Amino acid sequence: MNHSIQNLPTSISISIPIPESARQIAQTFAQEQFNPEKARQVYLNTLSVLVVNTYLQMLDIPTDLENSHSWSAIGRLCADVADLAIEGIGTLECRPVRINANFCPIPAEVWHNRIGYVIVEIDTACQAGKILGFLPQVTSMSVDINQLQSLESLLEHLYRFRLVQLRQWLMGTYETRWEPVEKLFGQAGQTDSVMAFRSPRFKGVELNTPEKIHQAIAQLFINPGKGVGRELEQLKWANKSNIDLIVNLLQTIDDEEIRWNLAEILWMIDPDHPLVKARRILDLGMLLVGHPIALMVGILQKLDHTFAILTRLYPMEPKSYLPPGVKLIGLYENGEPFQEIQSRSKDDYIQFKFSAESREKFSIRVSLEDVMITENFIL
Amino acid sequence: MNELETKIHLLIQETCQHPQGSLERKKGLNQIILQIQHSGKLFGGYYMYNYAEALQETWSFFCGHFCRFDPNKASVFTWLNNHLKYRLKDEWEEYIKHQKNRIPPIIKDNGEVIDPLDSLIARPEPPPILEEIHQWLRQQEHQLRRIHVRNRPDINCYVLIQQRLPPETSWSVLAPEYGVAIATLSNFYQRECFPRLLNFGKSQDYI
Repeated sequence: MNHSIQNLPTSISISIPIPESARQIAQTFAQEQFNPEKARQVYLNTLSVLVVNTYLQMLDIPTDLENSHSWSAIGRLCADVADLAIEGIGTLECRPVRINANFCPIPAEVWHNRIGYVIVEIDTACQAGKILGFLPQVTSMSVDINQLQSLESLLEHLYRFRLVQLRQWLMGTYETRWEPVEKLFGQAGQTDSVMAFRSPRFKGVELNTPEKIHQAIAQLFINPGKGVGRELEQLKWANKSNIDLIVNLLQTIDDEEIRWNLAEILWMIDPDHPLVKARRILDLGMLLVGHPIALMVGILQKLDHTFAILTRLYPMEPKSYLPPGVKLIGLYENGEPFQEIQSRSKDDYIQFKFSAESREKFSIRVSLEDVMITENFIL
Repeated sequence: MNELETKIHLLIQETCQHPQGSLERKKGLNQIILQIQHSGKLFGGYYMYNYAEALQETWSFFCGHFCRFDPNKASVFTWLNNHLKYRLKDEWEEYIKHQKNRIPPIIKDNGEVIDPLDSLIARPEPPPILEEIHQWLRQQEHQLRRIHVRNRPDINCYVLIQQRLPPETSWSVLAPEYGVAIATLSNFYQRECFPRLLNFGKSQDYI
């Protein structure tokens, strides 16, 4: 499909015009400095950041200038920074060079906490900035302009770093690679789908009639000592549809385990119900040593307005098991693991659940042998 | 229609088939911009009044509307150049109307290009925030000295922030002085020192 794209010549730099308003901002920032050399540095850094900002906006990649160190008076004064925060992705360093430079100096204070380095050539009159290319990492005092990677690989790189915006799932917006569970596994009832082989049953009860579904719901409450006897009473006289009943229970019960079980039943009988529809699946394909595996993530809003999250790993082929030794790992934002489970032989899925608060970031990692795939999320 | 135009039109058509927000669409648009820029067929009025502004507005317009482009009506270059020329005309009319909004010239009378960096003026004395930072450092000295590189209490937040305040001591001087790699110092600075400095700035309402 991309046939014609590949046939076009590959040139790598894009030129972004610099309007007067940008030069005025650069001048204001430069005049805060009390050393002419530093003033020139701040001027060019500011233009470079604005050029990359414009480029990313043209490509519909949201940035956060206000939260960049280059946009803080102390940041500019106390460090040689040309950083640009990109929403939900990280910080990109935008280093300026003048025309015909062969090398670009990279100050040591920006060697860390960056997801990449973009080099921008500012022309003599400061009327345009040419984005020459990018590097994913830098740990030396300067980089060779001829070693830069293309802007296309910058876009791919940013895409790998982006966070999955789970809050949007609750509002029904998803990235296309996160697919509806039914789409990947087929509709329940289809004999050849993975879901069909496990979905009609819930804890030993076949969910093929309203009575049986009601029975499955009731079963969740036959557990003395859990303090939910009242709900069971409610169940007995409730003359409601199963869906209404589950919705009612989800809105009143805070027992985590029961809530997930209810969600699971609702997924089977009404997968698009607003209360539980924030559930998607990512096809990891054959990335894990040739084993087709899919990662499912589901979110339930809790009564206290925090969120319960379920992550589950499935084999993609019908009636198959996960390869033994697959790990499903939850990581805090700083990369420290908070949960880790491993498949044994004949596991048809593995999963864990946890809670997270609004704006919290975490990662889910799937690994087998020495291959790993990490997905980053924000609530 | 020439070969290049046909190629770009096809590329636009292909790119628009990818969903909004997808990587493929972004890569496609990136490629379209590259091809248009490298064709050399965009109207070049570099020395015209506010050309950069008009050109940037044209690009923003293009990126927001390229999927509405109809190759049966005109070539992509005609489409873009028409937009650009209208923008240039607007800029010029604005200038005539309010002469005070005049932007600095790009070239001198002798035709030499003016580099704005040559006329950049730094302030004569340090800005007041610098003195405030020094005060904060003195007040926080005890706490800041306790945050240090592992097994190296002499490389701590207090001394490193002080040494990196303008006029700063360069990393390549500091590293051999402490006998550690530059990356060790700069990593510690980036992780422990700089964020504290920025937080102080926030608390003083310097954004």
